[in-house]
Amino acid sequence: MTSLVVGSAFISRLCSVLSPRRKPLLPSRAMAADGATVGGLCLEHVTVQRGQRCILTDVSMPIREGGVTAIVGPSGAGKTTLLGVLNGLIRPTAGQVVLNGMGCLSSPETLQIHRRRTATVFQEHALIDRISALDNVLLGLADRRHPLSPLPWPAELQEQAAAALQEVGLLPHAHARAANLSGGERQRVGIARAMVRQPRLLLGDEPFSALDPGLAASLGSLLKGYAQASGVTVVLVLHQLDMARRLADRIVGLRDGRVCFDGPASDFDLAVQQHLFASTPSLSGEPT
Amino acid sequence: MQPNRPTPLRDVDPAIEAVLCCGHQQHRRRLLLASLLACTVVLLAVFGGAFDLPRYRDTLPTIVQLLGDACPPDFSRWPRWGRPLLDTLSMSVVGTCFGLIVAIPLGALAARNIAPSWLGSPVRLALNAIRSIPGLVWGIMFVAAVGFGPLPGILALASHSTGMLGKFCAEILEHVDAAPGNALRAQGVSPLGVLRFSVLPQILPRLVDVTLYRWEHNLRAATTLGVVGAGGIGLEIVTAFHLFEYQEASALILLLLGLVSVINVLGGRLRRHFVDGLAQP
Ligand SMILES: Nc1ncnc2c1ncn2[C@@H]1O[C@H](COP(=O)(O)OP(=O)(O)OP(=O)(O)O)[C@@H](O)[C@H]1O
Ligand SMILES: [Mg+2]
Repeated sequence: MTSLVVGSAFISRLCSVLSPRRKPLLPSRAMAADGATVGGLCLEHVTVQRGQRCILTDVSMPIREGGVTAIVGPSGAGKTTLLGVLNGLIRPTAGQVVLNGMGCLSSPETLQIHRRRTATVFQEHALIDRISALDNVLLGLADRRHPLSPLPWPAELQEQAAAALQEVGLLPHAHARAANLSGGERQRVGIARAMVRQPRLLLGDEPFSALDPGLAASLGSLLKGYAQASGVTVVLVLHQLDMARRLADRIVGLRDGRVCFDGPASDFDLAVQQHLFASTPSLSGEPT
Repeated sequence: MQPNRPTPLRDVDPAIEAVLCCGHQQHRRRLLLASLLACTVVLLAVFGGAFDLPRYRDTLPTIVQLLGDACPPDFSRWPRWGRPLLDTLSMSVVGTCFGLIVAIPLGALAARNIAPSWLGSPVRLALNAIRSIPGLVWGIMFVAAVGFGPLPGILALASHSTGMLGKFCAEILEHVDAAPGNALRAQGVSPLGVLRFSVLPQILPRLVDVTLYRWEHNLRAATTLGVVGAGGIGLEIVTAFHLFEYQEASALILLLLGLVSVINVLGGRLRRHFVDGLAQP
């Protein structure tokens, strides 16, 4: 029930976001007017090496604008690393990430434009424990404010942040310290911090892992609706395969840093799944 | 068979056994280290005469007599204490602030996760050097350099505080959680913005905390600095002792105690404001 309320609040907000009276907030929309493709990007032979070890090996994939891509794979497969490459926090050792029509992420200007329209939900949430949930969400808007301004956050930004908290059902906890929130609440603060940016590319690293099934489902459909309605490109790392099948139109299976499945969600059947997760060491250490 | 290794009740996986064995070795090593440390302390205590029992014979009577001489405290000369009290207060406050202002940039340069080691190591060395010169020595130096009064006290406290606060500052910066800063970088926020929106909120409470502790410490240190000519209430106390006016000395010490308590309460308020500044839901 609560999730339904949350969901409908979000939809109504979406409508307000999409209505023409709203000024475009992100540079990407202006660029869309120039005719350049927005949101789509492409990984070309990306390899990430740490010491002697290859965490990603020759990963190539186009990411279509406006689609929902799910990345699945066993623990340690390199999913988080792949998202790091996508948001530019990790530089590939070899290969490159190409933004459609705008060049490669290794150029600082392209990287900056790319980052300004990207939002990431981090696996470990990456919140500041000592400050409130609302202040954490405001950090998602930090690029709209001068770092040296002594003034408090502008009322308009505060409103947006509070609305984002409302969307994830956390408005009553707006002034609670992040440290005092539960795992699922922290995760939802992380989601709100990403959503408040109204990104063109939304990256989520297991964004529903700490939520109960109902909440996960409702926030999942929310994101999917968001992507469909406004053409936002979404890339989600997901552990729950049923969720991946339901949300994504494309699934990428990653194993030991290599892409071993890449196709429409409908093709991700039991055989593929078994191959992808085969002989993952079970907790007892005995082969299953 | 090692006596402290539990006998396995059933066959244990060799991999698990290897891990546990490593743990046992570590435990033994720690035990050895702890006993070595304890032995060293005891030896040093013997060297320092702490176990020289005959020397304790007259301790208690002497202390009791001194306490008797100091009672009741004599507050009759209080109108003359305002100025020294203010001197001490100004030395501690200004000394702490000046120290902090110099300590923050030095601390940033000394933090291992910020500055490269070719820059960090010499700064850390300098901070260690500044810190290892006792406050009294700084006091004597600055009295010689700028003359009597609170000014040499301020400079001495600032110097010694710089060494201490700089080290704390570096440690606080080293413990900053990088994840929120990375999240900001990933959305295109400049390094200055990362400093302002991620680093500052994380370090501010702890910085306030150590600065307040340092202020308390400096208030007491300012008193001892009076002895070497930096004025303040410390000079009054020493003078009273020299004139055998134990009752006045005890009154002055009570006054100092009051001042320290007031500062403790004030500091506690400030600390609560910054450290637990948010309303709990
Ligand atoms: N900075 C690093 N240095 C060394 N190794 C790393 C580093 N980051 C990740 N790794 C290794 O790379 C592998 C992939 O890490 P990654 O975090 O991408 O996995 P993941 O697929 O997200 O796993 P999970 O599902 O458990 O989150 C892991 O084995 C990890 O130990
Ligand atoms: Mg991960």
